[in-house]
Amino acid sequence: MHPDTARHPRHCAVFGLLMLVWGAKESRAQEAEAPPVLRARSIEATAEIKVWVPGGSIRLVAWERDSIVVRGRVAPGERFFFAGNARALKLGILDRADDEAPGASAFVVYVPRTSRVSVKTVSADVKASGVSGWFYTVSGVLQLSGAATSVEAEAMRGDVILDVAAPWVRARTGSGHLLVRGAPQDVDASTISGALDVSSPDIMRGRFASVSGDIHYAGASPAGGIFEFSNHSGGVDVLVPSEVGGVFDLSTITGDIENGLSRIRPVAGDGGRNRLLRLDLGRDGSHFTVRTFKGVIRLRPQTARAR
Amino acid sequence: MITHLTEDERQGMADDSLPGARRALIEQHALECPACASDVARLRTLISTARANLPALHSSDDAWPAIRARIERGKVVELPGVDGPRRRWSLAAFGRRQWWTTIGLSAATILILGTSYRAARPVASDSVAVRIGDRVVRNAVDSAASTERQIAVLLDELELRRSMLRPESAAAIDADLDVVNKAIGELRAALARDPNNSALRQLLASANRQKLDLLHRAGNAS
Repeated sequence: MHPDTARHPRHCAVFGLLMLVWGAKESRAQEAEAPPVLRARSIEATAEIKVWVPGGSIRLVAWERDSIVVRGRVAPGERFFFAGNARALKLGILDRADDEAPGASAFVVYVPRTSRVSVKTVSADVKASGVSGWFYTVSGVLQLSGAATSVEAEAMRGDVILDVAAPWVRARTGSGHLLVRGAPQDVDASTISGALDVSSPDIMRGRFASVSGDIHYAGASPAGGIFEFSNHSGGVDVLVPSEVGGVFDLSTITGDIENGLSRIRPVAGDGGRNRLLRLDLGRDGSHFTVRTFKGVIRLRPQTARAR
Repeated sequence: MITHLTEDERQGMADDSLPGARRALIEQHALECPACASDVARLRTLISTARANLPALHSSDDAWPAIRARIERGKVVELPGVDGPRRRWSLAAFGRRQWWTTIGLSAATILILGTSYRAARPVASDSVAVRIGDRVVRNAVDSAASTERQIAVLLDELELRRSMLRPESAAAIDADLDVVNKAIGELRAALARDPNNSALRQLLASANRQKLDLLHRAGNAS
């Protein structure tokens, strides 16, 4: 017996216990990192992949191989399916005929970078990185990132968080929060009552709309860019660099217009029925059109900190 | 193990349509198997009852000559220049023709005058559609009507699917529809007060587009 061990038997016991607990934690962490492989097969690089996971979570990762690997755990009482051929396949959880809430399955799916996915969930959260395609959820959170050829993200009331570089992005949610970041070029985003936040200097064409949620845009005014904002009762907050160029057409029926870019004040237009503000700041820039029914329109310069 | 007659064999025995080769074997089985024999007897009774109650049908051959004659008559187109009895113009027939010609000419004149009048006056804004290449571009009012038609169809579909939706999905759709409908209601009321306000029209179009989007999304909900 080691003399120290003999001297401090209690310390050894505690140390051993700690090692056991640490080992168990480590093993759980490893399991969480690499859940068991459920299925794997070779597919074409441009394959169409349909995924249906009602509850739990799914993470999609684009990789440079012509194959698909599905890792994960299927919730008790649920059944996993995986069918199709090298060009088109579908996977997920088999539909049940009862009204019970979906079990929480968890999947990690590796797909070819140039494939296209159609992912649909009820409450399952979706995380995708570098994956192109259509993503839909009722109440889950859609969190998409990386470079993609096109992204279409739709939620009924879940949050949609986009941080993608893509030539075309379309995003919708109802009462959820919609956030657009990254470097998308052409964006069409709208909510019903959820807040819509856009923070990207790379957008060239954008159409942003809501019914009662506030819209915040913090970005640039690139030459030739076209931006259209429409809101009914929510506000529209446009933050652009203070030395911005471009044309701003702002109009509201019963709301207010606050111009923080210059001293020009809104005027009554359309026979005194609306409030209008047209601001031509010259230089090369974008054309911004903002319309609200009763929401406040704020045009503000970005502070250095905000930039 | 007892092997009974198949349904085909029983039916064949009952209506006497068994093939000769198998008939003896099947009849032998029926003699030895009371269950099959009784079932065949029941089927025979059923067939004879059905035949007794059948209404007497006329042979279709009897009806055919008359039908054919009617079809053949329909194929003949009488031309005005053809010789025959139709060429003999009676005064009454001439009068009738002239009367119809007069009515036709009057109708054409009214049509031309009506068209000229429509062309001269300002065109109603809900009826303009311009073809550019292979695309038809409609004006805003027309497109709004088209959007509203699509919305109505999707609302019907939603109602049909409602029982299949999870309660939380249905609640989310209803809450969002409520928000959009209130906005559309306010915009319509404002437009009723100020029908020429183009900003209001654009906002209404945007709200309708939102509703259409929502209903499309709802179509994917489960």
